[in-house]
Amino acid sequence: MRRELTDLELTSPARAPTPAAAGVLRTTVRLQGTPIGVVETVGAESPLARALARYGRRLYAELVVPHPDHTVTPPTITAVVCTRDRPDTLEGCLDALARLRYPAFDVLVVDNDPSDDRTRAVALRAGARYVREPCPGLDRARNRALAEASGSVVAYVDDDARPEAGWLAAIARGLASPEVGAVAGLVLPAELETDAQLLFEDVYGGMGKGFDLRLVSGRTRPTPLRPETVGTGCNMAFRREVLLSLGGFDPALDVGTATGGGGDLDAFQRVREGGWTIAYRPDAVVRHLHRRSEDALARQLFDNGRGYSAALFAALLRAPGGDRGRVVARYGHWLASWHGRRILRRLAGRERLPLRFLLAELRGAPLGPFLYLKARRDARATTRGDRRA
Amino acid sequence: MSRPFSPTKVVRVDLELPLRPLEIEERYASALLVVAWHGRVVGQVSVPAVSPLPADVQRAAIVRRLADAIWRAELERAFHAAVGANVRSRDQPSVSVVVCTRDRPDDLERCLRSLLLLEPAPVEIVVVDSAPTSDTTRALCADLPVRYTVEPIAGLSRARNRGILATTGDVIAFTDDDCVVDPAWLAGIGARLADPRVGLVTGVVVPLELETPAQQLFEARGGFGRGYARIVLDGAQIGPMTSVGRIGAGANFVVRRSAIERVGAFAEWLGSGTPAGAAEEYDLFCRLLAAGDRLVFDPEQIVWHRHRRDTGALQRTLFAYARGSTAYATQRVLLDGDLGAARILQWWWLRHLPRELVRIAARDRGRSELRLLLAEALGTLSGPFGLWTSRRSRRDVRQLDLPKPGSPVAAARPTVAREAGSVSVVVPTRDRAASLERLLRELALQSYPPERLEAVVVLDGTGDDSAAVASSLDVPYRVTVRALDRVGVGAARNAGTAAATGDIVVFLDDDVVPRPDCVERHAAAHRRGSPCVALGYAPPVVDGSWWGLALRAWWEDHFTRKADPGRTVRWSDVITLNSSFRRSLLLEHGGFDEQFARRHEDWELGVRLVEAGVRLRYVGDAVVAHELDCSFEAALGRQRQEARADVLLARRHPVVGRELPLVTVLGAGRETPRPNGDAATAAELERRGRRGAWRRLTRALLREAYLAGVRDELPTAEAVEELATIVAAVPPVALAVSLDGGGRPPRVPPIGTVELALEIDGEVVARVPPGPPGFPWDWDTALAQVEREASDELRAAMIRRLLASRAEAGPAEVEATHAS
Repeated sequence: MRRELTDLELTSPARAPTPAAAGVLRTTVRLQGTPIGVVETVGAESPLARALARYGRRLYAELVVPHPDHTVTPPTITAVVCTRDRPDTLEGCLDALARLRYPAFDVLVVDNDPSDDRTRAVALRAGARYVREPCPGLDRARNRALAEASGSVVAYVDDDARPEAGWLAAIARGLASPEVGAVAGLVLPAELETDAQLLFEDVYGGMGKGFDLRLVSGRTRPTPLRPETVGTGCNMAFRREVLLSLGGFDPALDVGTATGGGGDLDAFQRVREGGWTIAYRPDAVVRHLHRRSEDALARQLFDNGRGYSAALFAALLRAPGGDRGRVVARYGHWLASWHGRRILRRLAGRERLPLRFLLAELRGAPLGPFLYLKARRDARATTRGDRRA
Repeated sequence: MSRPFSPTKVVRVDLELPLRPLEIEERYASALLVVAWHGRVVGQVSVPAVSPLPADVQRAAIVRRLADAIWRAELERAFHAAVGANVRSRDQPSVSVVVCTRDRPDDLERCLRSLLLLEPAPVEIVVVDSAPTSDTTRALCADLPVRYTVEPIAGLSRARNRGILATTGDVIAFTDDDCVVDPAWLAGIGARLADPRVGLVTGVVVPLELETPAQQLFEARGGFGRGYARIVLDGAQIGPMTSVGRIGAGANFVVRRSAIERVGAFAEWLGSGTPAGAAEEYDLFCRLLAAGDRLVFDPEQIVWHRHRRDTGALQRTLFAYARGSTAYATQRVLLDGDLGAARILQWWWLRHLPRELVRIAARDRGRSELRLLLAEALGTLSGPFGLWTSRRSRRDVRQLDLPKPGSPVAAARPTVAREAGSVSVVVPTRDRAASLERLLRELALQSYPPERLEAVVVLDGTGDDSAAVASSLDVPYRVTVRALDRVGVGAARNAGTAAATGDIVVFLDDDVVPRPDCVERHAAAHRRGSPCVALGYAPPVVDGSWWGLALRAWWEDHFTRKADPGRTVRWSDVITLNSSFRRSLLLEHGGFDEQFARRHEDWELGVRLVEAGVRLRYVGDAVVAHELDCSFEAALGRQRQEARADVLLARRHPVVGRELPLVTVLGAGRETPRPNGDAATAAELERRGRRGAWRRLTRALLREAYLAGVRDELPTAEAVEELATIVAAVPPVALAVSLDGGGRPPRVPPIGTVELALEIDGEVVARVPPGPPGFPWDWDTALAQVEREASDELRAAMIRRLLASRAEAGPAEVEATHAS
């Protein structure tokens, strides 16, 4: 059943969402803008009472512990949207970007291997800067944005995502320490209308990484290799210099190549390997339109499977001799604890994600390394082709 | 494949102030935030290091991990403020600090510099140089305002005893030379020691640094961590061996001089510097608990400890702990016959060492290492040998003698005004000639002028030569004897009042020994002001039996409640044992109810006096020593009498019905387990050191005796039902406690069951009884009840209140957080 999405700002309970007479209300609970959590209420139940009961412990501490003074000099940020032939979806994203509250930012649209001019029209109408990346591949588009960006920070958002007004401000706060090289933020669903969307958000786990602000330190060794716990590609920002010094995104990864994904994870992993810290900010909120149909969801999970194993394989190729064992161990652990466990639970009737989706993701797992090698070959050929041209 | 080591930076964070970004040097991989909230440590949080470490990252980690601890600390603060418990005058006792050191001048200097910053300053700081090999410590101390003493014989216990001898304070605080103390280390010691049963207070020991693998290992294995919640161990309740490890280590404790004098000094064959190696503080803690004292772990008393830096030293330390601990346990089991101490050995061999082995097998390298396990295992095995060599090595050394506990200070000679009224001391007695004689002789030593003093001895039945003793004594005051034929205690007191000629009647029981100024203090209490009842202090004198300890605890807690400056003296505080009345007041109110033949005649009178508006006063300086009968059989008999008297009292005054243990019987007919034994079984359990089983059995026996007493008076279910209805018909008195900082401290009514009405912004959020029904309560039990029963409601109400105040702050602030 669909969920109606609302927000509850605890400091203005007067504007609290009115309980729906029927249906299920999913409320994002916020304290002075920062999401604290999500509560679901049925019928006439009050989301406020539910929120107080559920998050009381944390809320009390949040309210009595004094807030530090934020005096961050806002860095210049380029907000980047990489898109391919989805002008309608892109338009919604650009609308959201136009409503951002931040003193120093610009918007850059990278049109990846477009088949027509509609994207360009949408971008220019919204007042965004427009560049075209003729070679297909999301990471290529991201690299193009990196080269073209004017800001000292590059913040990436997908075309099917809607950043909230405070997004860039939160990213700027995340970059307060010079040791932080990248910031990842919270991804909440933009709508929960279909079963596929609910399955993805609630059963699979969605894209959110929780409501706890935290750091992934660059001072410790980047193990265990779990970039997927850090953040996701539809809401991430990097210091431009940092990413350039690491060589940008890997053009053999992510959508548009044989690997189908993993570019964001690989970037996070390399930032960590480079000794940079990654900050996770739950107050940097982006709303994401999840796939509506089950077929699209299955396709996405297959991409997740092959992208993740491809990114791991890239890490294996990069790793110094002593660390390769750990990468292989991580791969084994991923197969056992993520795939194996869930499939066994499903067979025992204790896992709600249908087998079809479990297998879709698992199917990608063994392909990753081969696809990565193929994609790398393709990428090199394209690059050579570029140079020749 | 070993993980490269990276040190952890330890930082203290005071959370009530806005957090600041922290500079974390390059070499640290993480930061350990030791979080204090209004001066008390609420926990530790580890955060990945970046520099500067942003304040919001610290805040988020702290809020996530310590939300509960912060709430508990805030609730406690709000509650104490609301009931005025924290503003009461607590005298700061005179404190001496003792630091024992051996050839560690650098550490010692850091320790002493921190001690010099103590606020308030102690009366003295004594450095004991234990068997020094050079003059550096002496030279260091010469430059600092500290007292320096040398103890030529090695051993930490010996040095500590030497330190005790060198001090003058009423309270002695111990820390180690490798520690740094918090400036407020001793600031709250007056409040912590306000309860006279608290003999010793330990505190938090947090790491000063975590620079080396050895230090991190030590901390990861538990370190000196004892959590961050206040712990109270009551020696009257629990066996020492099972619990003493929970409250702390020798690096941070404060002890009353009188407690040390009572139980004796540190055992010099234990402790570092002896072959046994450690465990000297546990020995002292255990002896204090065995003497029935309370031991408190208080997270406000903070000390920072520099753990051993290299793994070799850590290994030796762990070896010494294990060896000292087992040596001590061996001595308790084999030489003192205390089988309870076998639990220490059990802990080492069946719990700790196997657990460590599992960790090592699971390759949990951050938490354990094989060589540390080996050190501990060897330590436990060599414990008995350590015991032997250590005791041998001390054979020719005499333990340092501490002064014996002083006798109660004799009062100054009288300053009794000539016009003082005449006083009659009424002593009801039955067949206790010896104690009666002692009491009458002591009365001869009173500072009160004997010509204005008389004793009225009421013999309530005569089975021995009490009458002859009373009339034949040669004392300077007049003695009147009334012999009656077992009329009961109420009637006996009335007869004494009738026979008395003085203006003031002082009741003393025959088992007390008054201090010389006792009568004078009673007389002074009546000199001016409206008529009142003066209730004196009667410190119990008991033997060391477990029941004796329990009795002492009950009585001392009773008087501590009365002495609490924020507390109203209540009807149940009227105990005739050591009390005085204006004779006219007694006559006016008809004296004691003679139906109360055995017990509670005083409570019954107390109810009527309170209802008549008579003021009750606690006169803590009118002191008698109370020689209690510590036999458990006698207690069972008394318990039955008490039940019968409770029924009488509840019938006569239903208003107090719910304050009597009777309510636990009148309520829904809860089945109580039959005691599996009798008083003889209990004695056997005590002989075998089975504290828990003894406690359960004696409780069950007492309850059974109580039920028997109730059945004597209420033989049928209908009778029980009838009384229950009468008692239940009296509503409890709501006592408003406003937790939002507004409102005045509540005044406890002197009569009637109290129910706390917890208010926030004038609205009652929850109603909570202040203690278990039917038993006396104080603000500590009330707080415990509030935490247990109303925590969630109160928090929700507090959150709503805070949210409302944020909303008033307006949307501008919200805007600002968005737009940085």
